[in-house]
Amino acid sequence: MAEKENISWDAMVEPLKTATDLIFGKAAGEPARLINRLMAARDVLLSPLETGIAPTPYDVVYESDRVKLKHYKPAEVKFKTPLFVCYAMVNRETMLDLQSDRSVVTTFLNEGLEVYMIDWSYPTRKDRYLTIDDHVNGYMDEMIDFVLEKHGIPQVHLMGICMGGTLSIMYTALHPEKVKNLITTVTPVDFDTDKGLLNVWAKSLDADALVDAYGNIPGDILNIAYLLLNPARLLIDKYVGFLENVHDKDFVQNFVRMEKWIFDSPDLPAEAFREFINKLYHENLLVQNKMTLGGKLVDLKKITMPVLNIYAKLDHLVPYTSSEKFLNYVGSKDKTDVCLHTGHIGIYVSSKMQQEFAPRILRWLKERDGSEPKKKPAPRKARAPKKTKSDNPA
Amino acid sequence: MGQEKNTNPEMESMFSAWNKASKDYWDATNKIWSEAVQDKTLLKHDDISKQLDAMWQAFAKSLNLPDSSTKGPNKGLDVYTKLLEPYWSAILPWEGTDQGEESKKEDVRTVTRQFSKLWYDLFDKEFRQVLNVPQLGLTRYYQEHAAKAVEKFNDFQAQVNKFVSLLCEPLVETTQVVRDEIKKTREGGEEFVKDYKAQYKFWINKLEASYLDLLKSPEYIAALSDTLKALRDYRVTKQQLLIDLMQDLPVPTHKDMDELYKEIYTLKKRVKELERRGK
Repeated sequence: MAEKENISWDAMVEPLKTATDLIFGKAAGEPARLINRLMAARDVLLSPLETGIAPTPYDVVYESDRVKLKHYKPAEVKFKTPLFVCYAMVNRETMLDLQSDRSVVTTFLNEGLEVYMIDWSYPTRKDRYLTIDDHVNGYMDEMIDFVLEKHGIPQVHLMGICMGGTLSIMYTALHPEKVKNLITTVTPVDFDTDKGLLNVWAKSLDADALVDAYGNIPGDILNIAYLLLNPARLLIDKYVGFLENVHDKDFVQNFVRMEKWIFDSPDLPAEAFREFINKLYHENLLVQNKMTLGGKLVDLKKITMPVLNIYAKLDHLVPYTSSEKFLNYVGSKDKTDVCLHTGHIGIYVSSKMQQEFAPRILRWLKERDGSEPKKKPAPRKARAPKKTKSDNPA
Repeated sequence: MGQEKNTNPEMESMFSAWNKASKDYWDATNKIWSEAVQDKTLLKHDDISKQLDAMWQAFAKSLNLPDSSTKGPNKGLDVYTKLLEPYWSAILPWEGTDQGEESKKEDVRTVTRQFSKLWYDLFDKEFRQVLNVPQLGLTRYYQEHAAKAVEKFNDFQAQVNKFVSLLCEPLVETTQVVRDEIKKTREGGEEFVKDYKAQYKFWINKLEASYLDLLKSPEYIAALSDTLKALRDYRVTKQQLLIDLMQDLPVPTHKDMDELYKEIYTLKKRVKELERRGK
């Protein structure tokens, strides 16, 4: 009887006890080491910490409703055309300027590239009716027009990040005359893939139900979804790693900065979310050239300027299969694919990528910054898409 | 103060009675549980019913309630007994045959699921009908909204329970795998892995793989989808109830504000379009 009793009790309780032992055992190690570590951790956590993010100074040069346009000016401008950056509406554009030694913005400025960046800010309930069209043909177009007018130029370099890349693609297809070069980074384009869990889940997601429930989709709901992509790593292992390194001040500062960024999640405007799920994740309209915004067809073949498409092989949010075929659908002759061996966030902030990601964009842009823009795209004959350059085909 | 005390002997007597009844109740409860803990074999299914019954008697006595043992089975207590049954079965001695390692894992899974199911079944069969009794009269719509909110809240809770228990399964199962692995290695006369780091790494890798399997399974996707639908239903009905409650307060509801926002949105679009045409 006693044996049976133990078996049943163990089955319920011991696994959890084992898990706790493993987690704290790993973080603690030997008792003497644990005490030293706790003392050091106390010193670190009670000392002043540098955990501010987005340290690079900027001016807000344009505002429309909640949306702002940030302007980062280099000490010396070396590029003829400024770069216009469109970030995703989920999370914040501060990712590109997380800390001074891991800042895409700083790398651009150091090389003399002037940067304008959209800050989508925090939507409130009054923004719930804003569609993708309002963001692309409304805010984005207004702001690009502002930059063109300010500089007296006909075109900008346009760079899109993640969902902001998808918006940039739509914008470029609808306003190709205003884009000199297009850069897409970790951008979902082909949504019909089973490589990413978000894609798998989104297929059965009832966007209408969520919109009915919440109006704007709370950032915390999106964060829960992201955490559930890998609970073992994101809810356990990450914090075990923190406990293991809590005595290391630099580690703690970097960790806290990243935590600040990750959980600084604006809500998503309801109608834009509904459209994104239904038209892209469910119907995959963009790559079929069936997507319409404001009654106009988003025709990817109208993208004829040079295109640089960068994506990450280990991306768990936007699987590389969703990005890698983008260039097959555009009308450009000058198109470059770059697949980096990193993840969705690591591509911008990992120390290794500081030498890979932004410098590569700068090199690519330098080669294409000089020539005078054509007033109208050259007429194009229908032909099979062809890659002219490929750095690291996936 | 003393005077007041003297003038209220009835109150004092009631307090003494309550004090004594409470003390008796907690004494009885402590005695029952002390015995149970000292001798776990006492905690068999039948014993638990008896012990709970004894506790209930002590509790009823403290409240001056009639002796429930003479009034037939107590429905409220039966509900709880039924509700807790699967957990007792899991953590207390089995009455059945000996179990293998695999069946242990299945037990955990079954028990966790059974608990959620049992709770939901009770609600579904016992309470839902009551909440759906047709409402009559002037306030029928308000009563209906309140009942609907309660119904949808319970539906949502049931789905959340199901979803969370599904999410917990990899945690329980993989730690069991690690324990089995340690046991097996030790039985073979070897040390599994000496340091916690290696053990942790072994476990976290297993856990990650186990979650990956779960998170793309049709069962998980269906549970996620059902939970979100239940969330929608609950929030919509709760919103309706709040609108009812707030209509007499001088504050706008979401419904009021959404109508206003929609008008502002439409007007701004028209103004921008007119501006564009003007240029």
